[in-house]
Amino acid sequence: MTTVKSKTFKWSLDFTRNKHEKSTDNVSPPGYSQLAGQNGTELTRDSESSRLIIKKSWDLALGPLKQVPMNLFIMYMAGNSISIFPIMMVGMLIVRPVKALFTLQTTFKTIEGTQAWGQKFIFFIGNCVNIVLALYKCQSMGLLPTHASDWLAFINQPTRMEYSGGGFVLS
Amino acid sequence: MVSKLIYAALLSSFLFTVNGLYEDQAGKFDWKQDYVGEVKFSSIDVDVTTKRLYVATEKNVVASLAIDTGDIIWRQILEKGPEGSVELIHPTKSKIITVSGVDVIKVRGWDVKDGYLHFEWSTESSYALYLFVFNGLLHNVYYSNNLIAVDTYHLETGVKGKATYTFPAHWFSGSDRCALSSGSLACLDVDGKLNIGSLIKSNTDRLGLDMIGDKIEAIPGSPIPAFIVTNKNVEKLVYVKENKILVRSSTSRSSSFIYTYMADRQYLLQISSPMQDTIVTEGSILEDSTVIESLSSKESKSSLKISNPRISSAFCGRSKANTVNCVALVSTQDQSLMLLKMPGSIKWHREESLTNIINVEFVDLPVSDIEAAIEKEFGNKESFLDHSVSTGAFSMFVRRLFSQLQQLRTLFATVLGIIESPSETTGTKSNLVRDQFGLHKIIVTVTSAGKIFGIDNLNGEILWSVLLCGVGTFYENRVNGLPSAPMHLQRNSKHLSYSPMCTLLLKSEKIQFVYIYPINGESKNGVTQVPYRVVQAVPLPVLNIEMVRSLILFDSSNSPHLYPADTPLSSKPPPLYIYIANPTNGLLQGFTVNVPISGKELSAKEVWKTQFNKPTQIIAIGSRDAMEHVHSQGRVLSDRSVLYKYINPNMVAILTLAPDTTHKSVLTLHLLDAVSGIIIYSVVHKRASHPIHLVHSENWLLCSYYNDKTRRTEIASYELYDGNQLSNSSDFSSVGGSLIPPIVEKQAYILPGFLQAMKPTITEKGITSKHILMATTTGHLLEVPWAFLDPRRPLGEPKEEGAIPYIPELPMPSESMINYNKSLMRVDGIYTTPSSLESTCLVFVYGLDLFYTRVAPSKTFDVLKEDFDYLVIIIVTHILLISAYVTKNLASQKALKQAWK
Amino acid sequence: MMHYKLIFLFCSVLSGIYCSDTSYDSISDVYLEHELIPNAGFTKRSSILVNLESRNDVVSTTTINDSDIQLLKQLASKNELYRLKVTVRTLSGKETRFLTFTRACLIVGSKLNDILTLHLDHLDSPFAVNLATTSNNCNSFNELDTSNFTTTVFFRRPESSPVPDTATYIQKMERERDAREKGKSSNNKSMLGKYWMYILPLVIFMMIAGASNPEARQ
Repeated sequence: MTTVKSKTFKWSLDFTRNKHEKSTDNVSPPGYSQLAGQNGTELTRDSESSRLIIKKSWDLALGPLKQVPMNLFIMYMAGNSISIFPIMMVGMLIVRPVKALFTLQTTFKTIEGTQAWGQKFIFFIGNCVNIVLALYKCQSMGLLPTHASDWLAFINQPTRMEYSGGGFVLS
Repeated sequence: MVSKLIYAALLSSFLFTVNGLYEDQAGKFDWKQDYVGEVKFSSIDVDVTTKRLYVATEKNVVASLAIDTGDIIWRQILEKGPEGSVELIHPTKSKIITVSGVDVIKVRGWDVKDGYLHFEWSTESSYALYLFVFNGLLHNVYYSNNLIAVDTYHLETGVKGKATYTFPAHWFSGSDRCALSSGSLACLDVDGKLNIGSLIKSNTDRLGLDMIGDKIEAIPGSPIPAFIVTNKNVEKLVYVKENKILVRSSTSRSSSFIYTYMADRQYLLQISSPMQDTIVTEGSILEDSTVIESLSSKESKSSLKISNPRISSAFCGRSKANTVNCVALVSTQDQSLMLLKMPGSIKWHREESLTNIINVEFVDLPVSDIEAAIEKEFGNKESFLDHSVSTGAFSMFVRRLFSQLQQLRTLFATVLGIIESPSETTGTKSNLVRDQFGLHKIIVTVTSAGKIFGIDNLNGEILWSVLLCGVGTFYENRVNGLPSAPMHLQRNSKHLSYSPMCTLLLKSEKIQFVYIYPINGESKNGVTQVPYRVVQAVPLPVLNIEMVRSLILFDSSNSPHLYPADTPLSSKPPPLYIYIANPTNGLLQGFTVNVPISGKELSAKEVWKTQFNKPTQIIAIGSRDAMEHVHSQGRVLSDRSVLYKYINPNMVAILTLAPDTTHKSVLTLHLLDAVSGIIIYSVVHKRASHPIHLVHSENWLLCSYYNDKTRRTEIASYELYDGNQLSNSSDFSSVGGSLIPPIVEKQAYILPGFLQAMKPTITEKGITSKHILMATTTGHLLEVPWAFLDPRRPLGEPKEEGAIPYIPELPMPSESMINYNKSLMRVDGIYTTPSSLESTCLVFVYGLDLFYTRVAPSKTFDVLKEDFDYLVIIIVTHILLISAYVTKNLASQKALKQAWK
Repeated sequence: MMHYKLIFLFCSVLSGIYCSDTSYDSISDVYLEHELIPNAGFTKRSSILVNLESRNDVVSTTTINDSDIQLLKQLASKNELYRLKVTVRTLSGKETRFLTFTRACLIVGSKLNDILTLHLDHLDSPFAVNLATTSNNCNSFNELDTSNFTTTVFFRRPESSPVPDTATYIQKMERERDAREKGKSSNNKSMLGKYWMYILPLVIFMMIAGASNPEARQ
């Protein structure tokens, strides 16, 4: 009875019900309609969900690229001195995209569709950009072994071709 | 901001140099032994309550020793050299008075109790022949215009006494044929007559006696004039009593001492040593030669090494049983000092020759037998070539069982407390085995008295001593006139089936070698002679088949010989170049030596010759320590490029000193390639004079000298670099190599003090940073980081990270004095050697005192700290383990419960 | 050639540093003898006239005969040492003898171009002579086409020692003191002004954290 009525209205209040019905029936609070939540979604289910999936997956794919300005800011803030916090920050900067690249397949497992390839590619590029940024940071902090001094410890002492000895004449 | 940074840098630089010692660490890793030197004069305190004896020594030391133990009660050090040489000591009741100096005599009175100086006066006496004290007056005897003149001074005030009185002295025959004893002068005549005249009173008669002699000696400390006249090895005792000359024939070659007792009777004490380990004493009444039984004894001790004992002073008394007993202070030719109690024994014995160390070597101890067995089992072919390792599975198994049984046996033995020497086979003390970190070694020292000692480096105990008697003499160092003893460790302790071998080169008609087995001082092969005169000995870079590092010996005609001869070498040696420097004529010669693998038919060819112009003298040669390794081949600059070090293993530093008309003296430092003879660099220091010290290590040099112009000690620091490009070759050749001279960085520093010795620390791999040990005249041993002496210390903006800004004066913080309150006087040298721990370097300082310690220039990064709490870490790990186990169980129980819900 | 240039540069720099002491007995000529057969004795190579007063490095060319060239080639092929005996004569006739050597193949390999360095002490008298070649090529000794020894004689004098640089140090200290005194007056900015770069990120961080927290609670 009430269900029929409620199909036509978005919501309705029925003050006509008598007290008998109240005691027996599981009464909803005033203004509550069981179907209110379902309203509208069923109509656009197919088109809406695919659009959302695409949107969501684009969000996912563009995530790393969106992080770039933030990372740049962190990098600027961290400074070039080598101490525990900048090192941790740089470590995070480099580890996160690498991890993301390794879990690329699992991240995009659920995502299908025509744009999946492009999304994957964008995600990959974004992470690469992050890695490059982190490496640049390492470079400017002097953590990359690009100078001659970094390989100094591996230089061996040259072998002696001649031996010498002597001293004052013994007398 | 900049200044703040500089302060921060300064502060941080001090942080790593502060290596002070906690109070409870004093004496833990170090020991110090005090010595006085060879005894010249001595006196035994008659007062029984104090029980002391006073000595004055050749090292210009006045000291008081305890009679019972021989310990030093107090010690005063006088001026170095002839200005401080003690000529006379005179004990009075409360003071001990010394007369010292040659041209200006200084008289000082020291308190007998604590050695405080009570008074001091000096007077000029350029012609003094003899000095003696009589009646509280110092008598100064001199010779002028055929007269012997005597000046007297009041001993304590220096007030000149009565007018000078003179004696006719036609019989005075020169100070070498005369002797003075108890105020009487005795002279041997050319015609065979002995004249004795008293110098105490002005009008005394001269006593004469017909006696032919070669030599006359006074008996020290004798209360009556007494002399020993030697004629063709026959000794006669001559003494004066009641104005009469009396002669007594001496029975054997011995040292005599006359002691007065009860005014009328003289006792004669005699001492001799027929063998090195025996000491014979005799006592007799002087007049009638009656032997006193209680004073005659024969002592024998295997640890003794005595030659030519001499009684320095004695004191006798009558005991309750009415027998005469004496104590005598005996000094021997090898400079040891002992107190002899007669009747009785040697009460104590001091090795004073350790004040004259001329060469030091640290020798590793051999491994213990158990470790040796393990080494044999897992025979490392490289280092233990000398035993064949069987490869059969069964024999390996048997060997393993055997070695484990042995380990089990020793474990039981130690648990049950059965003291069983595990190293009976080598015949050494059981604790003389190598430790894990190579910190326990034996210090082998050669002293100028001809005695060689083996000293335990951990506690300073003398393990053995060898007296070189009649073997040969030492070489002479022509730069400073001191004896030099070239010593080579020809075989170290690493070769299991061979014992280590130390070779000492001695000079005689034929050059001689002494082998010493440095662990117990035995001389197995004894003395070897070679039929030529050796002018240079250089160890080969390769071993021979008996694991001996052969020596190349150059004879006087510059032809080479191999020693040990005719033993084939284990491999063909690389081209070898030997240089010989003559300090006096400034000639430097370089030779190339061809050593065939057979060890026979060596040939040498002169390849370069350098001649310094007269009167230039070569005063020092600084070569790098043969054990030194350079870990880092370059230095990192602030722009992260590398400045490569110029490390030429053949480079030696030659210091020459030339007198100069305008600059007083000119000190020149030449850097010479000993292979090619190329002068790499030379630098002139004007107005530089002694003391000069040279240190050459890695790619840097330090040269300290006294600057006459500025009147201070300066240290010039030099550092050599190849530049920013690394030479691509992996070999270093001095002949026809790179022609580009190295870049030399130089800087000078002021040292607020005077140096006695300087030495860099050395570690096994050369990773640890270098510190310089400096012994100053104030008795400090300073450990200065090389970074403070770096010539690249920046004056302006720092060129590299961590560089300390330039300050001309070197800091001398008290924290870096590694001998804390133990002053080290008269330091002759510092010896440093690496231990097996990379961080730690062993240091031995010798001179008047011996001091041993260990230093860790970069802190002990490879060992846990002394106060590391093992208990806490054990408890914590156990608690963690247990709690992990418990929580694991609890967690599984909880999971089970939840699964049931 | 590169080495040659460097050596030349270095030595010319060195010869520019001149000691104040002038020796009246200066070097007049250098007489060279070389050994072409091992242990067979020295034969004359050349004599180079030297004038120390002119302060110039001397280049001299000498021709040696063909048989000597052949001996030199043999010496080089056997990888023997080429020894050179140098006698330095002074104007007063004083002679000092030196000996120096290099590998024979280097002499041939550098086409008989060698460098003789005369080391002079602080009184300008020689104490050492070193022989070097212009190249360290030891392989191409068969291509020797000249018989002219081109010898360059350099003089090297010792440098003067460093002295403790107290003057500069004191100047530096004074400069620093002045800077400190000046700095004291100007360095009175507020704490915020000085440390804004540290405070700002902290504030931003806290803002971000505060903004994100309610969401996290949901």
